[in-house]
Amino acid sequence: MNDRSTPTRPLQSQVDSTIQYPLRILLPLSLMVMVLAHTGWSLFSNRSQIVNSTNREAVIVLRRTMSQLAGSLERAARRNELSTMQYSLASLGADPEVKFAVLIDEENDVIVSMRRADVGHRFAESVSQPYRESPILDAGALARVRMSQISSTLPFGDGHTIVGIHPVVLGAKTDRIRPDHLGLFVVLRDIRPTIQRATTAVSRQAVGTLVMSCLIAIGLGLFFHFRIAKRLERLEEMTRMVGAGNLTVRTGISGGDEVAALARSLDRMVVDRDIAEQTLGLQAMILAHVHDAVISTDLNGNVETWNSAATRLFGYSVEEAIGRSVDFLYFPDNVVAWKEQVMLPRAERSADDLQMRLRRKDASAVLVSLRLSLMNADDGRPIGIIGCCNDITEQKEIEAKLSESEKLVREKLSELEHLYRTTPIGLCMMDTELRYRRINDELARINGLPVEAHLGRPLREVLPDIADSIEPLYREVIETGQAKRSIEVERPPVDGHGQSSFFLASYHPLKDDTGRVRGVSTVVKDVSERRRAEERLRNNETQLAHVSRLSTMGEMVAGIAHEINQPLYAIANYAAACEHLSRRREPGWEEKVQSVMGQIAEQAVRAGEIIKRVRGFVANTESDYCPIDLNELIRDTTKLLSFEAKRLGATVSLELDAALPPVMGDAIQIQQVLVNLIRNAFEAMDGQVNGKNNVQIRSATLDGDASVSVKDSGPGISSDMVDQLKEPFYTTKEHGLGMGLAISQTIVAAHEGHLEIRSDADGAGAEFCIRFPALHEIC
Amino acid sequence: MAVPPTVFVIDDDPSALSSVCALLTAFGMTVKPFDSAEDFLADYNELQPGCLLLDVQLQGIGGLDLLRQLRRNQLDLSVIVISGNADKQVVRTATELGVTEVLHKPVQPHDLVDVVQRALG
Ligand SMILES: Nc1ncnc2c1ncn2[C@@H]1O[C@H](COP(=O)(O)OP(=O)(O)OP(=O)(O)O)[C@@H](O)[C@H]1O
Ligand SMILES: [Mg+2]
Repeated sequence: MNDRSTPTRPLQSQVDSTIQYPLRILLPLSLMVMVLAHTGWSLFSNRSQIVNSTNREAVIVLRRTMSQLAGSLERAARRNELSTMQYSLASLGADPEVKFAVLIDEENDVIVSMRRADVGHRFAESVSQPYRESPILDAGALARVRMSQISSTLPFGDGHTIVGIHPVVLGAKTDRIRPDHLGLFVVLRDIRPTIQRATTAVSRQAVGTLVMSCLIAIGLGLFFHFRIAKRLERLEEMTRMVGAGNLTVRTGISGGDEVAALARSLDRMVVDRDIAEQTLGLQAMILAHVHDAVISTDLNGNVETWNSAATRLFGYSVEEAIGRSVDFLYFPDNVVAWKEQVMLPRAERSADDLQMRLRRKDASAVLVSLRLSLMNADDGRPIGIIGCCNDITEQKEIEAKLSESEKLVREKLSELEHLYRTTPIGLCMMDTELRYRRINDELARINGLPVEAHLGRPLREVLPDIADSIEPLYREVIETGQAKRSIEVERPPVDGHGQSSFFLASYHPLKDDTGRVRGVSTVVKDVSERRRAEERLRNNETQLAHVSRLSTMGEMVAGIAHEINQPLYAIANYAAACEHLSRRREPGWEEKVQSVMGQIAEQAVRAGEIIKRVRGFVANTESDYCPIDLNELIRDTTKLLSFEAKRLGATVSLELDAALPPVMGDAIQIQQVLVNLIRNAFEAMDGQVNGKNNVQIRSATLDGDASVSVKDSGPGISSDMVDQLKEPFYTTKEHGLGMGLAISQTIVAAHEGHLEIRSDADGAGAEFCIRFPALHEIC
Repeated sequence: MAVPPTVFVIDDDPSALSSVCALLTAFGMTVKPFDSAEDFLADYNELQPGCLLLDVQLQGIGGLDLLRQLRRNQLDLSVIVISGNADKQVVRTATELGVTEVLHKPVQPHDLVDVVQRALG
């Protein structure tokens, strides 16, 4: 497929499929960083807050505690109960955060301390390191409190140490108590452990959050990996395969999420594309294989598509044709602008197909039928023109030939039609309901009605007189689908007198494609004339046979006279005897007379029989066909010829087949044949002195035929003479007519039989054999 | 009493033979029928007086042949010949051979009786 029309797949740029920044890692990682940052930041901000609030809280608590304690210290001081004061302070020592608590007098000497050891010492000495140098606790600060008599509670500056200074009125004078009445109650509290505790809790919480977040991030990462990244990878792989042209792949992704939806639509897309591509391929294939040359051009007439049929038709290869103006296909005188042609309103176009001569590469012309159609884009805008052309040179020739043969067929058909109508043979077509569908002039004439009186009418209505005899024939043909040929139909004279007509009719079934009989075609020939001629001929033959019989009788008349003389002579003798006996009346005469009278009667019958036989033989009866028992006829004939036998000194021996079938025929004529043959046999042996003049008459059944052979012991016939014998007037006898065998031959033939002459060697005699078809039905 | 003379009748037609015999018997003659010349020759006794009534058309040995044979044997038997067809040749030959009488069929029965009675003498 080297056509331009075949869509070529665009070259695939090699896509780099490695993923540099896998989301499944980046996403959890960034999440973790975010959580980490957040935790760090919140840890940091919380901590300072915690420190501040703890400090504030501690200051308040300290202030409250100190004012309470200051109260109780003042009361104890008034009562001068030092020990109570000592006790009060010592109670503070229970709090490990309280680093020291002292009550100092106006000279800054320690009056009462939390730690008993400090009592009596200078305040500055009792302050433990590292607080000793703090400016808060220096003399100035103390003096300011004393001056203002307002307690102060201050954070130390290191962030976790608070110092509270509270003025206390020392009313009652003790020995150790100076007369200055105003003491200071100083307490230092290091709240680092509390802060520590608070921050620790916060950090622990932060770590917990961090761990949770990390776990979530990992989970997220895994989720991304399996539920999204993996499937996306599969999608990516698939798109790559699809891109490479493999349209059979499917994502195999299921689910209810967006990726699955994406996969599904991708699958659908691939299927669609597969189908589209197959269609496209198919179209391309069709285009390549169509017999028509298919050429498409753009609107400017430049060739865009050129299929192989076009190459075959015009001789230009795809490469030669593509891009050129389609005008190269025209001869200069008949350029057709495709665009104008195709833009013409349909009504103005002469025909859908233009028939024109186009130019081949070798400059020869080719007659084509060109069909142009406009190619439209989806929005209906024309984008090109498609031209289909096929070589109609051959088609034109075929058309010409076809119309010629059509003309010929039409002529032949009308000839046939004419023939059908005018042929002197009756023709008709009958449908299965036995209605005339068609009939020709001759059959209409035979039927004695005009053609119109037949068409569409049933047989029974048209020919009521013979419908009974021919309807069954039609029915049989329709039922069996077998033709019936040469059926003889006799039609009695229509007006009751005149002669019967005879027809030879054939019935042929007309079948449709499925072999079902849809009608019967009938051919009818009027054979009345022939039948009459045959009858005349038969009559002539009968007449001739009769004449011949008379002549035979004439030849035998002397013999016959003698034959009749015998009984008459006997009767005369008997009668004279009777007369004499009855006159003499001797005893017993009556019995004698009776017996002699019996003899007379017998002889009279004998004479009568001879005459009957002779008369039967010469009677000029109409030929009358009836079943004949040949054996009986042979016996009868030998009796008729017994005198001839005696006269010519011959004997006759019979050998008759008791099972001989009867034959149909005219008994007298067949007897005539037997007489001729037997007499010939007698005559052939006449004059032989060896005393063995015997005629053997034999009847037999041969292949179902009845045959009679007459064999003599005469000189026989030389084989070269055999054919001549049956010629009329051939004779070797002095008084012969030469008609015997000729007439016998005619008679036998009229009975559909054969007469055969056999003569072996000299001296073996001649054998004449007649043979007739057996009659099987007894009528 | 002398032996009565016998009429020998030869005819190959049985009805003719029996009717002739019946006729002659009715007229009181002694008759001996034969249906062929051969039978007659076989049976014939020269000493027996009588006459011969002969049909010339016989199967086998013909009537005239028998006559010739009888004449060759010097037999003095009066012979009456009956011929079916009045063939002059037959009559002449028969006469030459010395037959008593030649009769032609059909013969009047009374003539026949007369001729035979005359022949018997
Ligand atoms: N059985 C036979 N043997 C020898 N030749 C025969 C025999 N039958 C007939 N022919 C010869 O055939 C000839 C013709 O016989 P056909 O019966 O036709 O005439 P025909 O007997 O001569 O005269 P007719 O008309 O009186 O019968 C005879 O003349 C005879 O030569
Ligand atoms: Mg003949």
